Amino acid sequence: MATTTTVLESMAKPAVAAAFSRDVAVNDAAEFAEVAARYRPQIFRFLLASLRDPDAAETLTQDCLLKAHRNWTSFRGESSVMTWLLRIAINLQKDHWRSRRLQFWKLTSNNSVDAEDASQWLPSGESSPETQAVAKDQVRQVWKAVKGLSERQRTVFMLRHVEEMEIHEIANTIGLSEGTVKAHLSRAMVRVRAELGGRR
Amino acid sequence: MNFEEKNREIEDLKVESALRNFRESVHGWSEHEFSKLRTIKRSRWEAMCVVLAKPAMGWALGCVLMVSSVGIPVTVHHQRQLVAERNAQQLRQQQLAKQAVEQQATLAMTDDELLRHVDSDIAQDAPDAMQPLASLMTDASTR
Repeated sequence: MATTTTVLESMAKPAVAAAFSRDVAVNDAAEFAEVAARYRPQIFRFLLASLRDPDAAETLTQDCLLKAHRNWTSFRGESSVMTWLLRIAINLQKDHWRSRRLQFWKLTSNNSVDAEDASQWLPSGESSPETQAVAKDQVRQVWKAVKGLSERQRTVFMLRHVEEMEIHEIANTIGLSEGTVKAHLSRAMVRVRAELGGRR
Repeated sequence: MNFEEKNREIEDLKVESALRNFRESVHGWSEHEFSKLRTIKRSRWEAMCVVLAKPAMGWALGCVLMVSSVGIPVTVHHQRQLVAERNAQQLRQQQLAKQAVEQQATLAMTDDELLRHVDSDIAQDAPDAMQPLASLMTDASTR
C-alpha cells in the first residue's frame, strides 16, 4: 500500500510542480501589474522633470516598466521597488541622452519644453496674483538653474527636491556613496541659490 | 541674532519656498501630462486599417520576397538557356552553309572534269578520205 502511494506521489509531482509554477507566474504577473500601476506616475514625473519632454518621458516610462517586467522574477527585494524602478529609469535616461548626443540630426525634432513653458504650472495653493507672480518667477528661476546643471547633479537634485528622497535612498538608487551625493547636491544648490539671487 | 544671520534665515526661507513651488509645479505639470497621455483617441476606421494593414503588409512583403527570390534566378537561368540555344542554332546554320559551299565547289569541279572527259572521248580527227567534206562543212559554217 505504501509503495503504491509513493508511486502515485512521484507521478503527481511534475503535475503539481507545473501547476505551482503556473500559479507563481500568474501571481507574479498580477503583482507586477499592481506595482506598475502604483509607481508609473512617479517614474513618469521623474523622467518628465529630467527630460522636460512629455513624449520622451512617456516612452522611457514604458521602456522602464517593460524592462522591469522582464526582470521582475530576478528582483530579490534588496532595495525598495521604487528605488529599483528609478535605477532602471535613470539608466534609460542616460542611454537616451547618449543616443540624442550621437543623433545630432534629431536635435531639430526635439520636443523638450522650454523652462519658461514648464514654469507655467503653478502651485495650486497660490491665490493672489502677487503671490502667483512671485511663485511663477521662482519656478522659472529654479528651472533655469536646473538647465545649467550636469546630468548627475540634475538627477540628484530632482530625486531630492521633486521626489523628496533621502540622501541614502538617492545614493542607493544612483549607486554612489552618500558623500558623493551630498557633494553633487551641494553644487546644484549653489547654482539654484545663485539663480535665486542669494549667496553663493 | 545679528543682521547677517537674519539675512541668511530670510534667504533660506526664500530658497525653501522656491523649491516647494518648483516641486508643486512639477507635480502639477506631470499630473496634467499623465492624464493627457491616457486619452489616446483613435477612430474605429483607423484602428481597423491598422489591424488589417499589418498582416496584409506582412503577406505582401512575404510574397514580394518569395517572388523575387525564386523568380529572378529562374528568369536569369531561362534567359541564359535561350541565348545558348540561339548561339548553338547560329553555329549549326553557319556549319551547314559552309558544308553547302564546299559541296557545290566539289560538284562544280566534277562537271568540268566530266566535260573535259566527254570532249576527249568524243573528239577525233577526220579520216583523210573525208577531208574534202570536212573542209566544205567548215566553209559552210563560216559563211
